[in-house]
Amino acid sequence: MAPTDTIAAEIFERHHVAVFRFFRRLTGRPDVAEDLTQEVFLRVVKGVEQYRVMGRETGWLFQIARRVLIDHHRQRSDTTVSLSDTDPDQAAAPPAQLVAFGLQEAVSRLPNAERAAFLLREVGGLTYGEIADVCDTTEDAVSARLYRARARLRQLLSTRLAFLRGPRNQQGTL
Amino acid sequence: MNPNHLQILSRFFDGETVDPALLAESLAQPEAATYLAECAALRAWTREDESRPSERFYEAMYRALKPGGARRPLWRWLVRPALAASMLLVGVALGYEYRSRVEPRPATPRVAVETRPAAMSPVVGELAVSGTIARQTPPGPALPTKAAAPPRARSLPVPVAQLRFGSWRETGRGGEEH
Repeated sequence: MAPTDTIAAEIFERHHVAVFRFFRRLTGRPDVAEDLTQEVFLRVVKGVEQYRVMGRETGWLFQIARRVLIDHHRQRSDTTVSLSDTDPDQAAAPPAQLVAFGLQEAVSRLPNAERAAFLLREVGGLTYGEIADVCDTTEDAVSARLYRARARLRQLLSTRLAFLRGPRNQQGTL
Repeated sequence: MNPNHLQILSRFFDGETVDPALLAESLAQPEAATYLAECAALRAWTREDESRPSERFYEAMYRALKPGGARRPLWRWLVRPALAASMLLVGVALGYEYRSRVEPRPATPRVAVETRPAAMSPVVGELAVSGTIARQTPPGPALPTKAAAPPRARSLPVPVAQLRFGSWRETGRGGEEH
């Protein structure tokens, strides 16, 4: 069996970018995302000896990420991410990246449960079952949260999504 | 299109298991294609993020992840050396005990020193000291096959030293020879 340090290093190499981007989307701040990602993998190093659920390491990893996030919110006691908290470099982004900026803003306006479910699915690539494990809920609840998150995002980003709608669909409600 | 249709399409878009009949009904809705396209757009925008952590982050992480670089509590650093030392001590003690039980101790030769009064020299002012060392080997532990062997002892008169003080003279300054 490989040493625990090697296992932790392999897990880091496979998932650190996804975890970082998950936190970055969730908090809107790269510096906070780095700190949280670092904390996740330090906990991975400490807990990798207990890690035996091969094949489901993504779910295990994002469970750690969720606990890190909860601890972070407990320390800060605020969970909202306002526009002023976003990356200042993005304010001067070219038009092609304005869509992404709008997405970040829209994601930050989602309720916490829906935002977490959406990012775990789209950034982390977790299945409904894994999201349910991470969020300590059921698959049906995850399904409902994802549906609501998408409905809200479509509403918030309707002007940017208009190019997908034909002349007939633009007049109807989606 | 009602919310149930949207939820079915959302599950289908995520690759989850859905009821085929409900999926067919949902896909038959006029806005179904647009809804799926919008889900795909949201996914693409979310995943087009090319951001990566900074160099500072990687330096800290590689330092923590290199073999032996993880932060471990102090007691974990002390446990292994302490265990190794205690196992070594136990091993040495057991080996010594085993050896002392299995191997009989060889007879330890004893050396007895006998002194005889020095023979006085007839020369006035000269003192002759002589002596002998009698080396005696006491009997060893009785072996079953040689139980009747008499103890061997031998006395070897060996002249050890003979000092003559005839040419010495007291100087009062401590044994200086001239």
